[in-house]
Amino acid sequence: MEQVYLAAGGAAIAQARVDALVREYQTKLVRYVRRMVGDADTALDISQDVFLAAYRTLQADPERPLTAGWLYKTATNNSISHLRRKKIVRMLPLDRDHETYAWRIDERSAASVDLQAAMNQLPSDQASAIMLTTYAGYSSQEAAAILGTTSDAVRQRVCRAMRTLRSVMTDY
Amino acid sequence: MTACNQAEVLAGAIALGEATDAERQAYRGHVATCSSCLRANGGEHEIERTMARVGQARDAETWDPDLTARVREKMNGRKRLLRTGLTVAGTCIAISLAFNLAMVTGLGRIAPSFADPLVLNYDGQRIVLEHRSTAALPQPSTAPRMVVEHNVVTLTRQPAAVAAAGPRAPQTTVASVQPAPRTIAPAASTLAAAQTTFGDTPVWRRGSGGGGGSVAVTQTTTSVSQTIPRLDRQTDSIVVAPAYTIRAPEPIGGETALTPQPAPIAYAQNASGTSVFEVQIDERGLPTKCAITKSSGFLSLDDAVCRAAMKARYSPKLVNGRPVPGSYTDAFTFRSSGNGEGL
Repeated sequence: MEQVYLAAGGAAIAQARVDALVREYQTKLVRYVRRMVGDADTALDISQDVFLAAYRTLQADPERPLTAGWLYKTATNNSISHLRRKKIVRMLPLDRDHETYAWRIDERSAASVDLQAAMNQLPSDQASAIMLTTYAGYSSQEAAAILGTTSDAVRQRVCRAMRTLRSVMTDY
Repeated sequence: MTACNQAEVLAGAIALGEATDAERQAYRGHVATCSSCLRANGGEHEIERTMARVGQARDAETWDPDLTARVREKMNGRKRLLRTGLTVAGTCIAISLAFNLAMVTGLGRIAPSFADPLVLNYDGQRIVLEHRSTAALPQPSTAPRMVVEHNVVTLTRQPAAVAAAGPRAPQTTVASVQPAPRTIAPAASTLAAAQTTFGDTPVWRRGSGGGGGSVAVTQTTTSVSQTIPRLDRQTDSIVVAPAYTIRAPEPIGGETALTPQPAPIAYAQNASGTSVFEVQIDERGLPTKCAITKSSGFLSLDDAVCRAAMKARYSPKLVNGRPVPGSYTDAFTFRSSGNGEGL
């Protein structure tokens, strides 16, 4: 698991370290979160909160080595919290039309659209497992460390997520 | 873990490209005998095709957002918020410390302390009750002193009148008025004489215009130092006092209408002291509430004073000729004396 660590000390370097984290991981993290929550603007907000959380952590302990896994773990938790809130909001009829097409704004390929359609049907644990392994590029063991489970459980979740993906993505 | 669950794990390993040859062989062996797993998960090639399509979607991503400016702005905003909070907290602490320092040094005294005299308004006069405690008074300075002499009303009551009368009828009070002019003149000798009379008991000093007949009055002469602001304030108040336009309530029949009758236990206790009371009077002149603002130290005396005050009738307070609710304040000094001296 890769580590992001700058050999400098003092509270003043927290911002520099966060800048480095943003430059290196923002694209991967935002894409991952966008697939999780299905909305680009929400993905930007959640990713920004993740980096600010990293900044707060580094302010308290500037020497702490922050891993990319920490970022993905925080992003996964924030995304799941957002999905839970959205699940409640979806019960209100006014937001339904707005939410339906929000994820289509900057899609470029049919496969991407299909993937997002399948992702919207997945439970959050399966979605995080398949995204961490296929999008973020982690192995099943690394993803298990991020999600706090075992590698066999991650593989099982990937298999079950793959069933949904196969049924949705081959229909088109 | 059942065989089908194990097959799910193997299928996941195949999907992630982590399966070994042995695991692939095991999965093939399971789906060859389990049609439900084959239908649900598909064969190896089907799994790899599905994952390849996911890879196509991932590779087709072109969205490349830039969060650098947003995150940096938020971080700076957080630092500004922290800096502003620290500034505000520091300012509050500094103001608090300055206020406390001012209070400790006496510069910002906003409430009268125990050493300050209690000033009461009565019928256009200014009554000053001060505690003659040498510890509470400012130390005499060597500066030239001014002496203010008020109209002093001295009332001598025969010993049987209030305190030691017991079953005997109270005697008539004898008042002696010393109509001293309100003058300010240097008199160091008078100051020395006044200081010798200081004791620990509160005494009354009645302002100008006081007629005879008051019940509890003690002669007093006070000294004024030009360098002490408290006494300067008293001098000012004496000048301003006759300018009252509001007529204060007073008992009908004069002050002698109030005749407190202490309970017999007061005589047994040799009770003595000064009871300062305040009666609330409504616009009809009826007393509604009596409060002892300074106790004599004996409940029997305080109770007698309040009962007498509530029994009396008053002329109401007049503001521009219109009766309004007001309050009447007076005091009784009881002195227990077996030899017929005192009030």
